[in-house]
Amino acid sequence: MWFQNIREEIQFRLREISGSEIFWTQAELNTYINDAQLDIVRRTECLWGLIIFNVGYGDYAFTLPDNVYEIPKLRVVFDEDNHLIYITPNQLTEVDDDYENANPGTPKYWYYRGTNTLYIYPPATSAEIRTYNFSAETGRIVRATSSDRTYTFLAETGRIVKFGNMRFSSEFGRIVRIQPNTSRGERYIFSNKHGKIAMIEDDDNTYTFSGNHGKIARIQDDNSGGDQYIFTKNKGIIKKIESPIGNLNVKYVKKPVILEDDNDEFEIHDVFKYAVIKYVCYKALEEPKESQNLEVSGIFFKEYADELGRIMPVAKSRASSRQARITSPDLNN
Amino acid sequence: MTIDEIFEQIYIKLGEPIDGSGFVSNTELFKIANECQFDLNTRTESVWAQETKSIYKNQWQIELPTDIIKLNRVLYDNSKALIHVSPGYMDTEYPGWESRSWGTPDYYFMYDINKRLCLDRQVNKNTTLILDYIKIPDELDDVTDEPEFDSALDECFIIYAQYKLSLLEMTSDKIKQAYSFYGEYLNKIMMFNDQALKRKTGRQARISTFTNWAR
Repeated sequence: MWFQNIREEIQFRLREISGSEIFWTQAELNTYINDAQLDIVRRTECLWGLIIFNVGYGDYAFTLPDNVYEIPKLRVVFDEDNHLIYITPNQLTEVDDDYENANPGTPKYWYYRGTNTLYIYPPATSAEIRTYNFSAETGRIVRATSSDRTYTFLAETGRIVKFGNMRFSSEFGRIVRIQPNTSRGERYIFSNKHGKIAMIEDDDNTYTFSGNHGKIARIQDDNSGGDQYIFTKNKGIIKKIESPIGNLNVKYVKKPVILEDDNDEFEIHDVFKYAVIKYVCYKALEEPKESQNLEVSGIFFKEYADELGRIMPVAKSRASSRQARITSPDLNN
Repeated sequence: MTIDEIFEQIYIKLGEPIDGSGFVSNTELFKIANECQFDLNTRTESVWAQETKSIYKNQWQIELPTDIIKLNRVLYDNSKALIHVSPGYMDTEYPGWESRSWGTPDYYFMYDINKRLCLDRQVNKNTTLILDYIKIPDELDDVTDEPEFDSALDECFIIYAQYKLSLLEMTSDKIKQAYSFYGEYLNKIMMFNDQALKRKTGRQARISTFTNWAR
């Protein structure tokens, strides 16, 4: 579903000729088309985005990307599986009068204050020492091991997956098992590039694989002081980083990207093609100018609403527990 | 009926030359016919497709076919129909579901509508998902094409074109006409759906009659 193609379909229905427009310029129709896809997303919640924040000790405020439309109540997840509960600042005052100065603990709630920042309460802390890994593909830090669990970041899906002696090969799309002979102290790592497990013959140091350079890099630190390291893609060297203590995974209904170029492709599914056309016809004919025809505009609107209603059984799979709408924050709360 | 034959009927109704050399052309009619068949399928759910997708151990998401209107059934491992829920349901009923152990999934849900299907847990073996869905009908772009619908719905294409072309005129008389065509179009669909339902219930009725007789 391409921008130009849809615009021409609309022009046909408005009896306009592409390139020789009389009543509606291409720019006007483009605006309506962008309005249409936003309206469809609002009504059906058919587009989702994901952002993962690295959370450091005491962190509590996180700036959201501009394309967030709405976050379902239970879709803010700390440390992979702790679904935080949405709360308004007023409700939070009942929990803790001085919530802004709370001591760090295990986060339980999340809230908005302002349009573009998400807060968690209490600020994050971590009870256990954890180590982290760098995903070269996404440029994010993810937790690699805890005392009893192993994790990795699945770049394809944007999720952390838990497994034992397993690693995910993004190249092969498979989890491969690492079978160390622990009695001999052997350790292994998976090389994405070579598609092989390589044994690391060194007990005194830890290693990581640089997907970019196709090499195993040694991390010269025993982590006894809790130091963490990262592999820099550009320089190909390991450098020390401030240790994050977890991550905050936010899945949200996103605003569609604004279409500008004729070859731009719609983010929403093709099933909404005729809904877009009908919405634009409704808007164009409603415009107070010579071409205005409210009766036909009304018919197009009815068709639009009716069609979405028929497609909506699919859209009913949307999060039923949605609330906090970022575009219209309740600043009184 | 081929699309050419349907177009011919439309031209006759409009009093236009049947070769498309009048005010209305085949190009316009193709646009209307494609819109019509999409509309028809959302109302009658006539055109279905089935696709088998491979899913590998540890996977919990798959890409969906691009021509889905509505997913009707997801069959896991050739044996288990999964239940459709919302992501909100998973978050509410199974907090922390992301960390569930591998196994046989029970539920499926979608974030991006019709684009990606998610399971409630990672699967524990390489297997398949069979998807039954109502599809966006293949585009009609050649006069020899034949709509994928029951021939009882051929007339709907003609009436829908009359409706849309009347609407394009945007005069009060034509708008009245358009309303009338639209009503007729919906009636035809309702009758078709009723008959389809009767066919189903008719079969059930025969069975119950036989049971009574046997008693």
